[in-house]
Amino acid sequence: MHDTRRTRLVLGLLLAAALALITIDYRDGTASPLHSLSSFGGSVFGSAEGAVSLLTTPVRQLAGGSGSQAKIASLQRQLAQARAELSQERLSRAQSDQLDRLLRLAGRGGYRIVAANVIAAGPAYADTITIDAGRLDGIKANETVLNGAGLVGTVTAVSAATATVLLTTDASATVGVRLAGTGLIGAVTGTGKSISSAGLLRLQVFSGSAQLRPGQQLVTFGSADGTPYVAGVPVGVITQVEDAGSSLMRQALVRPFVSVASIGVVGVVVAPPRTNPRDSVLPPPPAPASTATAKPSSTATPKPASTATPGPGG
Amino acid sequence: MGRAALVAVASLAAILIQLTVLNGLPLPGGAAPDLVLILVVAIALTGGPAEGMLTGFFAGLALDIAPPASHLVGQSALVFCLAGYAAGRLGGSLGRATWQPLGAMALCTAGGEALSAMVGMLFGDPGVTWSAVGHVLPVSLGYDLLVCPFALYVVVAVSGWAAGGALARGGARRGPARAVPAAAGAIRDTGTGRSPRLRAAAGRPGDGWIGGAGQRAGRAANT
Repeated sequence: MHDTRRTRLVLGLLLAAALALITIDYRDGTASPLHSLSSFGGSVFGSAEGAVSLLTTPVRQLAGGSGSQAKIASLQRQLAQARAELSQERLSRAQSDQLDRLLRLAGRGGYRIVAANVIAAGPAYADTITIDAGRLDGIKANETVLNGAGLVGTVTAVSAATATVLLTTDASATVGVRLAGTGLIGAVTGTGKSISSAGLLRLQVFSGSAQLRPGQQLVTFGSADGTPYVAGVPVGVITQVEDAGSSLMRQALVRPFVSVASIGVVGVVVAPPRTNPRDSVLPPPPAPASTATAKPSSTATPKPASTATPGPGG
Repeated sequence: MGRAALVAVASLAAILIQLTVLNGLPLPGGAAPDLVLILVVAIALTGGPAEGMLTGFFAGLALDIAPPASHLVGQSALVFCLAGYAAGRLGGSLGRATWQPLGAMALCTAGGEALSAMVGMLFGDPGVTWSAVGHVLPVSLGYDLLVCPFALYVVVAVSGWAAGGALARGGARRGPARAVPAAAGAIRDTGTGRSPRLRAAAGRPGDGWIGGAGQRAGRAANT
């Protein structure tokens, strides 16, 4: 049956079905029968991704140890090191380092978190990831996701054992921020793939008299009830001030503290801190300055399934 | 029957590899090859338009509902269904030269990538802007073209192996008549050894085909 009338009929039906699905999803996202289809896909493919990622996480971790800015020399050094220590033990030690940094950051801010591993990533035009913790671990939609370096994103969809995280670098993500040390309020929006240096954010400060300069740090301003973003999470550093062409607004490019390529272990904030941590969670600036002493990280509740335990023989 | 199961398993594997490995790899250029699209096109080239569009629709739908997809449900189903149909049609009219299936595959994959970007833009996906497409599309096309020959090679080899197995089973019971549906595709493994040679099939089902398959069937029966 090369191309019969029946084939064309089926093609027409399939195309109509696809267009109908798109229309239904476009019109009412979560209130449609498609929602149950998506949550079905979420549980089935989520568990499959979790199983497969046990095998594939080493591949991504070896490939994704550093950002794209790393120099060839350091890459070669890393390659030699990776060859020398190519074992599950080393990979789980890298993960436990990440978990350690995450717990320290969560302890400084007083965030109560659930730790999770990244198990899958979205297509080229979208910056989304899947993590291996879901509704059963107490995660709900619109909760803040962070790692040891700062803000990662927010939870957009939850299935039983997995959750989808929209990264701050996605073009549809907007986060309210405050310039550290000042009261200036603004918003950062992901640039997606629209500028050549990937992974940057664009800051807009709604004040014509605001003085922006490279090196200033940003923390999240915080939303009501801590959803979708809790207050005080480090976001990034201003790298370049742009001319917005408007006297009502200042604009700048921001390099996030979190590099998308190296996200491995993340924490989902399930309860915001009782008081706003202000700037205390920020990493120390280049000039010597003391940061707030880390509280014991007992407020954090790491997921037992995450790989904090050393590998066999380690 | 065996082929349908193989296609389903291969699509599922491609989706999982795409989501858990390829999308997360920090490849230069910030894009990754679209393994699912490539597989759909390769299956369509070997299996014809009906198989291509069905594979494309369901693989696309699975990709639409598998986390962490954030686009509208149905976008990939639409694009992959069309790409599979086009590849199946194109596969039916290929000559015997080796470059022709590869060229058809490159063409359909490129068309699918471009259509995917167009559909995203059409439905107002905030990540799909002209400048984003300008940065992503050439890079992902480049990776796709790198992967295409290997994917086609594997698909032709596996479908030749599956058809050989079907021949071996069917031939024992009902004779070679059962081979014809399996041979309806456009590109077949015409080699008699282990490594398949990519060549467009002859005009009539069975030309230059039964001999090689018969040998394979004999081997399969022996082992």
